Amino acid sequence: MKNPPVILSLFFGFIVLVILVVQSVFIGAGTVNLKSAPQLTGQISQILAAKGDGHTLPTLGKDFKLSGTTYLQNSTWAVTEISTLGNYPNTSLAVLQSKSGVYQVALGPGTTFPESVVDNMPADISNYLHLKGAVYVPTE
Amino acid sequence: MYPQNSVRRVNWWAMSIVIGLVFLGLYIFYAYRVVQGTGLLTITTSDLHATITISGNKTTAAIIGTGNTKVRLKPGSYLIVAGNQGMQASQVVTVSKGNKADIKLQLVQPAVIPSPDTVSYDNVQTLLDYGLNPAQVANVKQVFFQYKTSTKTISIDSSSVKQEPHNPAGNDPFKLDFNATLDGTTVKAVVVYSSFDDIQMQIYDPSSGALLYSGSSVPTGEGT
Repeated sequence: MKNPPVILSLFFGFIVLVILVVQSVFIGAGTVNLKSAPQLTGQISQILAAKGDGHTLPTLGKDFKLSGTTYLQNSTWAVTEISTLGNYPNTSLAVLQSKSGVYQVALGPGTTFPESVVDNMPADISNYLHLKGAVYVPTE
Repeated sequence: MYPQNSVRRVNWWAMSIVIGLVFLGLYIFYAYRVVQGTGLLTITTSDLHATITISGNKTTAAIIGTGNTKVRLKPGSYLIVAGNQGMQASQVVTVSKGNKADIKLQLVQPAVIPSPDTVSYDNVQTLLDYGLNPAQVANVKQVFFQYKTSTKTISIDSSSVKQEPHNPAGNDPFKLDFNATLDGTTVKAVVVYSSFDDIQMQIYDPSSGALLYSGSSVPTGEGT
């Protein structure tokens, strides 16, 4: 065998090249594995991040907690109470609608919502928000 | 001795090549499994600085990139949200095995629904300094909002905040007075409280002393 170290280096260089080609062309992107969490956790985290700096995702149990989640309209809608944790805790409501099996925030988070908006939602949701005292009639 | 060493050296080269080929084969098998078991999602946004996040059904959320990105995902439905400086866009996307999906997100300013959270407050810290707790301050904001839902800014006059005398031996509630300016109009507020959450609040015209509004907090979840 002539100059084996060179041949071996070329061979392993070829392997690395094949791996890089497979990674970029065949696989195309990194795989994202999301951790299991209680229902609505991810969606609320996303909406809180979007309302904040957008660059950090709040964590359930550390930055916020969810309570009193109620599912309505055959679980196609959900209303949940979000309590942000920290020095200045705040509690608000969010209304979410399930689309293709994943919930999306439809209203909120907020403490009260205008009657004109709430009354355009399905009757169950509207009634529930009225019962919660989360509906106001604009004064002007 | 020399020929034996030469054979050993050749064997080492051969073994290295075999190991390399086995590793390559395993990697290609792994890549095949990944491609067959996942879908490729390509996301483009109208803002190259937008942070892109993803969540699924009963999962946490994760940041997956900025601007434009590609990810491989297990089959299922996912909520993709892109946001930057208050602009947002979101879309639910369904990913299936071995397929590709492309989505384009156009970031827009979300419609702002007036609520106590959308009002801008100045010097609200003063109320905390005078003994109200964060829940009571939130309720003060709520009552101000009930009084005038179109209010955009509320400025509390720190120098006017005054705790009324309170007899610790009696059952009288605590009282806190202060002036506040609501979009340029000054009012006098009196907060009355005896528990950690609920408050009663009256809003007066400071010049005439006329009662403009009287409201109380409705803690979320207890209904009316």
